[in-house]
Amino acid sequence: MNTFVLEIFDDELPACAFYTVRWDDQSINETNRFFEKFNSDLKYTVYIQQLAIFLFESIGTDHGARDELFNRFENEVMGLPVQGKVKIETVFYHYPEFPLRLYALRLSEQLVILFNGGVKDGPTNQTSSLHMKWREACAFARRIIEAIQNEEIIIDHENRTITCSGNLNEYLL
Amino acid sequence: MNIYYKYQTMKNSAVRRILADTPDEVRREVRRNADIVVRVHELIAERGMTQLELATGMGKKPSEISKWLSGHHNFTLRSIAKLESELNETILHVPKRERYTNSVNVSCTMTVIRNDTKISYGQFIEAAPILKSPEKMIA
Repeated sequence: MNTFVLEIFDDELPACAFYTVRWDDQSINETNRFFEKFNSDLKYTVYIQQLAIFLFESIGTDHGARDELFNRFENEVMGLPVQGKVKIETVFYHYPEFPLRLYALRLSEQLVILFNGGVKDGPTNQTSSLHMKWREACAFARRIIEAIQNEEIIIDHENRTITCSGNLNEYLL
Repeated sequence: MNIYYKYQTMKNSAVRRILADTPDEVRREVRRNADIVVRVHELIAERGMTQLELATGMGKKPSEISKWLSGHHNFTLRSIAKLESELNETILHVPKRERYTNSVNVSCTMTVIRNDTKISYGQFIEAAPILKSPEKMIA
């Protein structure tokens, strides 16, 4: 896997701080790539607006990353190596037949790492067109969990920050 | 009072643009929907109920209640009323306009909205989030 950067997406919302990942050779992070892609497609404009409000107002401002606002697919966990038992979750807007999925690694109710996502156009992630994004999210999450376990990066849940020895705002993983 | 946040400091222009372009009705629908989901889960937890017990009390199939609570249900007034009745609590509150008259017969009307304050350690505190930079919000 190529090198990627863990960087702040938004840390000024009162209930939850969001981080994201960016490939080291890319200028745009994966979450922004997701939002830009679907915002430019008129078919998904309303959905992307709903998802943005859900993320940054309902979760980020009102409630934090509570259990009931996330959707846990156990079959997604099974795609990962057993070591680490990483749970990749889907940011899930509570509305019937919502077509978009955005993957996330929830470290706590106050700290979430957002990845990329896509359109859920099959009964499972494995059979949807977003399969590759799911696999990619799993790989990102696995590397991040390894970095946490190895103390390459330190999670400060109280202050909602991810830090490393250099105390930088972005981390190469 | 409705408070809208301007995401001027958001580092991601795409999301900032999306949030700014989102119609107010969409914003309200999404937030209200999440509020209801969180509220129902809180009430169930407070009462130590299971989804099965809730379903039995409401005369519904457990699978139907599971669907409601996992987000695959578009709440209607009827479904919210059923939940309120079974949980014996208000889930959705509609503000009421009330008239007050003081001792010198000066009267005014006020719209009473709950949940703008909450009690913490015996004191009322603002429930609305306190922003690090108040200039970022507009009323």
